[in-house]
Amino acid sequence: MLLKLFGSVLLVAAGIFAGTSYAGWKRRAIAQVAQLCTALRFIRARIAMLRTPLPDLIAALAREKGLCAPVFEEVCKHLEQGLETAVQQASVRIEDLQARQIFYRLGVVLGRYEADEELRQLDAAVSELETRMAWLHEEYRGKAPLVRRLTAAAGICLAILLI
Amino acid sequence: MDEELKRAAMLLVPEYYRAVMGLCMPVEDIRLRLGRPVSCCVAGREYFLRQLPVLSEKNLLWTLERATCSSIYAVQDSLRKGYINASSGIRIGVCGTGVIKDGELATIKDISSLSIRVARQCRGIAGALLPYNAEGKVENTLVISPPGYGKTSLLRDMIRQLSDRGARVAVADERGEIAAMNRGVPGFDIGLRTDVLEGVEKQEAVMMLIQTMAPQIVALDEISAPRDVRAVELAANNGAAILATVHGRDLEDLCKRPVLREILKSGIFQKALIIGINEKGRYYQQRSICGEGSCVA
Repeated sequence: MLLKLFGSVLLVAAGIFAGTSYAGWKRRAIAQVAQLCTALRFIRARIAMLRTPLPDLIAALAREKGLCAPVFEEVCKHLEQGLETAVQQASVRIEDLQARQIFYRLGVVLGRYEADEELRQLDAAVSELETRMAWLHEEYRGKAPLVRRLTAAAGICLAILLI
Repeated sequence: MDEELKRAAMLLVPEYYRAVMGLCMPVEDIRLRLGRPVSCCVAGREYFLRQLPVLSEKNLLWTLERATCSSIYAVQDSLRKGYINASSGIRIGVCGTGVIKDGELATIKDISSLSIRVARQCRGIAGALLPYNAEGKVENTLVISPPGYGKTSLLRDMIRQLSDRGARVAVADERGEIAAMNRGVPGFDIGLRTDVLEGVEKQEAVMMLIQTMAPQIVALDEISAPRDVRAVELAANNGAAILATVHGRDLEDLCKRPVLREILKSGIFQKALIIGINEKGRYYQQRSICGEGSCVA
């Protein structure tokens, strides 16, 4: 009996853990998109004011701490193969699929055009990311508590069923 | 230093050609022309790598990406003038199709040729040519030669030696060839007392240098346009000695060009250093210039 009780507690805990993990993952994805926006704004400012070459900017971003640092570290690592390839390979480090696609597309245009066009492309990417972030926020607010409750309830149900 | 420059230049050449080209010493110029064999200039002669495939568009774009650090916007102003400055004093001449916007050259598209020019630090070549007059003052000097004869190398060494001997030298390095600045550090030894303003048009640069750096000598490379002449006049009117270079065979050749004839007649320059090449190699000829009517003495 004690074993059954212990098992059911574990099942409920697993359900709660699954819900919390999901919410945590969503929170991380939102934070990463927000940091990606900040990074792109940093790139934009440096291009507009100083015309700093992209490898220097990417190296600076890779040195920063945060959720986007691994993305830019990955870009740095693959820079030898060309910027486009490097950005596209690094985009897999972005957790949200749509944000990943936005970053992937940016790889095709970054460094290819004159400053005005670069800035336009960066503005467009930032704006898309912001829209995505707002949507993710909404989704998180609506779904995260529900998922947490559902997974906890699923754990309880499963425990009752197995007992 | 020269070996470093050659290595840096080689890194801009697609790997395919690098191994063969590495054997050519000392490379002065590497020519990449779309759809044609890659060539390199050694001692004034151009050698084609005919045994290797012709240059593909992919390879040309690869070099361009390397040279611009994947950032066309960082070189857009110089690209409009037909060149890119890669790091370590390597200037790349660019040819393609001009894009005209509002009557002005906006950029160059469909790039077809690149000329990777490897600059050299020739220490000591200006030793006997330093333009001191009898009173020990630096004379305004014009270095004259056809392209590729070593005007800039001579100017660089003059700057270095004069600077190390105590003169405050300011360099208006519009094309970044004299000092080859890399993040504020000169790629060449240009002397202890030399200040460099890079990437600014000569007239504006001279104005800024005179107002802010109080130079005793102002150095400029390749004066050709009327605004460059105005830069020289500006420096001369502010009491700085001038060292400048110009394309041409000799003084008589310069006198045929209205812009340069004017400046020779104005009497600003007192001395001309003419570089020539004969069967024995490079030679230097010193001539004095007197203005007022006759342009050459």
